[in-house]
Amino acid sequence: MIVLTTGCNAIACAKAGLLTPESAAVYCGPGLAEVCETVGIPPVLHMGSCVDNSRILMAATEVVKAGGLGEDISDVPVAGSAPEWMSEKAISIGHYFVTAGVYTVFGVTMPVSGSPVFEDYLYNKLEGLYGGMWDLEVDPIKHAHKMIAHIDKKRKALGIDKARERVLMDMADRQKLEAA
Amino acid sequence: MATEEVKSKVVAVKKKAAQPPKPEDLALDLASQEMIARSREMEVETIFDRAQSMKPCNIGAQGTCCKNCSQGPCRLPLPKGGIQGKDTRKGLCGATAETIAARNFARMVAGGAAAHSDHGRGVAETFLAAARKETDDYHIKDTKKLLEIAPDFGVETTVEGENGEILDRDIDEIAVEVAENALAQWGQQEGEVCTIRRAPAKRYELWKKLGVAPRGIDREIVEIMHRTHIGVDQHYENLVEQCSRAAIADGWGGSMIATDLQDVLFGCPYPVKSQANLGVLKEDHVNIVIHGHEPLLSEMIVQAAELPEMVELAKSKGAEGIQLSGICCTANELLMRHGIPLAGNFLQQELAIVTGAVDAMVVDVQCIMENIASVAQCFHTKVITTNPRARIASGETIHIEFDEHTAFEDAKKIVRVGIENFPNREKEVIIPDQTSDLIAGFSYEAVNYHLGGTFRGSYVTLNDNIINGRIRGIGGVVG
Repeated sequence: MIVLTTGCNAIACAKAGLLTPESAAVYCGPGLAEVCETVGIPPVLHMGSCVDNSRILMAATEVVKAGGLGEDISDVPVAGSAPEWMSEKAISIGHYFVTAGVYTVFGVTMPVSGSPVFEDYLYNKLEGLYGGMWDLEVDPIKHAHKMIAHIDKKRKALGIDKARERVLMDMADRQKLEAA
Repeated sequence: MATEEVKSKVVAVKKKAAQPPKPEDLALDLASQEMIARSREMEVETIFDRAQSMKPCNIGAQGTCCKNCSQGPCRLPLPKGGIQGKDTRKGLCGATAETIAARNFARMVAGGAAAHSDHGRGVAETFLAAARKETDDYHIKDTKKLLEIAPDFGVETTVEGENGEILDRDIDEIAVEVAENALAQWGQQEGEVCTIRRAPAKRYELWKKLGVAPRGIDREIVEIMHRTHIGVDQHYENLVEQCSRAAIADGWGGSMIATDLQDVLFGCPYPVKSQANLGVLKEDHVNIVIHGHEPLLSEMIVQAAELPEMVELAKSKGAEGIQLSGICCTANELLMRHGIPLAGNFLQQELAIVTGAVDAMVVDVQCIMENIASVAQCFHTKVITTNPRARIASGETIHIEFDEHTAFEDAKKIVRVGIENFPNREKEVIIPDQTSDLIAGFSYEAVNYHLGGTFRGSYVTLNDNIINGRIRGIGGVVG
């Protein structure tokens, strides 16, 4: 999973050494590592300050426009996360991610647990309206797996959940393809 | 509870208090651990100490404390054994736990959207001053991006000549019109915030259908405050609908306009190398740490710190030069456009001062802990507030107010305070030997370029790699 990051999380990623192209070979699966090496980018892309989350929205919009991954942000295999959120700004960001159609998991805590009905509305019912919804997962590993599970759900809906065999093509193969 | 039991509990609490958690249990980051240890040796209290003594309020943590009128505050925590049967909890006015939790949630959205959007307003005002040439300090730098965004603000980039030919419109004219139309999005009362139309067509249509397309940025925030006043909106779904208007007005409005206009004023970011962590501070340099969220003044500080007269002044005080570094999002803004290193994030603001190496910490708005002023009093550090919205009563701070019309002069004053303070270092300087290399500056335009190059830049490459499974998907990790 390629990660777009901003704000204090970006600084935390920087300190952990994740904002270097070399980190791809260390931490990423073979697919992403290969893409990062080919393009020369880190697996975690620092997009700026917290107002620059708008850049993430625009990137998601560009992905929709580029085609092949659905017609809306809620179709794209994307998930949002604020693992160590702290400010009210994060709640506004979380809600504009959700209303953009993004499944968004927060860590630490969510001050809504006193009302199970309201909690259920945010974590489940909103998906019916926006295609995106809130969630809370304090455990960082489970947190990441929830994001992956959502991305897999979207991949399945797009019919791209099966790994494709990679075939090396020579000119003769290509000519055959074109003839067909 | 039996007296003995109480006593044993008191003893247990005292024992616990006598052994605070070790620094390595409080932070993963080695630089932070080292500075937490130092702060304890020096008996300088930081957030890491206060987090031990201050336990979160249980009812607030559940979101069910309502203090929106004088009849309460009404507290509706979950019953110990959970809700059995019908939930009968109500505040004095009858507000249910749903209503109260939704009101509190909505006020957080309002607070967050207001913070981002008021930042955006400040940028738009500076942009307007630059476009009207009312200031010599700011100029339209990225005309390419200006031309790209102009149509989104309903501004024509071409004009028809006398003979019907299409001519490029004057850049200054475009800039003024973009500035005026951008600024108008805050006070707009009807219609919709123009930049939301950048969303994919299907999403935009969905917002229209749900009736959550924001009318104006300020209006939606004000309406949250109205609806959450006692006795107004008492339906949690309806409250969340208003949250959606305000949040969309933030993400696709206030924040997005801030990013747009900052890029036009200061340049759209492209990849840049730098470093992060407290190790970027330099013992033999004047260290000026810029902390907060806006790039407006800090862009001027970068220029001021590079002036030969400032470098000479620093040398005359015995320093080798001036080292700028940043904390929080002002840091990110400067990193993205100038490669200025990151000294740390939110939880390191006090710890940076604990190094004893910070000659000035310059703050603007948001996420600035009041306690930096108290920590600074244990060292020689001058804390300089710069925004009329954000003053600090604790400690002794200096206020040098930023004005977009005199920004460069303000910035020079600030840099001078840092330099003059260099000889006043009293405590031993201990800078953790921790830095990480990094590459930042990935605006969405930069990602576009990197994926395809100048002539065929596009997100198709990313999509292809997601489709073929080399990349599973995209994670937006923030906060």
